[in-house]
Amino acid sequence: MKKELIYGTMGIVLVLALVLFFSLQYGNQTSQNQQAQAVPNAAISTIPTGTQTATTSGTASTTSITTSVVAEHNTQTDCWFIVNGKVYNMTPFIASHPGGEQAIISFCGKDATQAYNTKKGVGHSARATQMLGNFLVGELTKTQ
Amino acid sequence: MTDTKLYLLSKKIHRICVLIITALTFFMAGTGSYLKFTFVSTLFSFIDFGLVRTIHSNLSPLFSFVLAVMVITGIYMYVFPYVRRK
Repeated sequence: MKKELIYGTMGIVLVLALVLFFSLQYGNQTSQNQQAQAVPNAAISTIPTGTQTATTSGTASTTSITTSVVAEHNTQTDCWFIVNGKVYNMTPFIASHPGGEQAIISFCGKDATQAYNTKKGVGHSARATQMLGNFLVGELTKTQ
Repeated sequence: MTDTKLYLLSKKIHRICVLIITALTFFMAGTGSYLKFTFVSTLFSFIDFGLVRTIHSNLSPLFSFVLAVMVITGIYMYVFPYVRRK
């Protein structure tokens, strides 16, 4: 009985250590994401002239981007996608996505509207949509 | 290994699993309630939603495994006396 108690207690300590480990890992990831977002979005400078309407203050919501520009950002290290007519740079969030990295990577450079709105039949939560706003690059223009 | 030794081993493993699952249930039930019910998340709004989701997601495989081991050993201990009687 004593041995079982010792092993069980060790198991409980292991669970607590795991919770602490995951919390620290989440904290590190969050601070990395915040640092990545604090850097001005260098990808905006790759947008061809004539299609960009960004202000010098860097208000991303005034930037108009075409689908061909979005398609150029189609890798794990430079990942943009389109949701509901807006373009988002998801590169800093790929590692933190609760549904796994592949769920985002598979839509890099593409329109992810349907996948986003129909996730598991009900779509993403209001909180997820709020978080998505943090990665906004600009609005999508349909003309190529 | 004889049936009796296996029974005694199952008993030991089951007891250890009970202790571990108690701790795991505390975290899984707490984080699950936070994620599922808005009144709980409103009550504990000072806790980061993403952190709760991360803990719940990462602990769930371990929780499932320990629960499965507990169930298997429990079923063996339950069935063993009936089989032995025969």
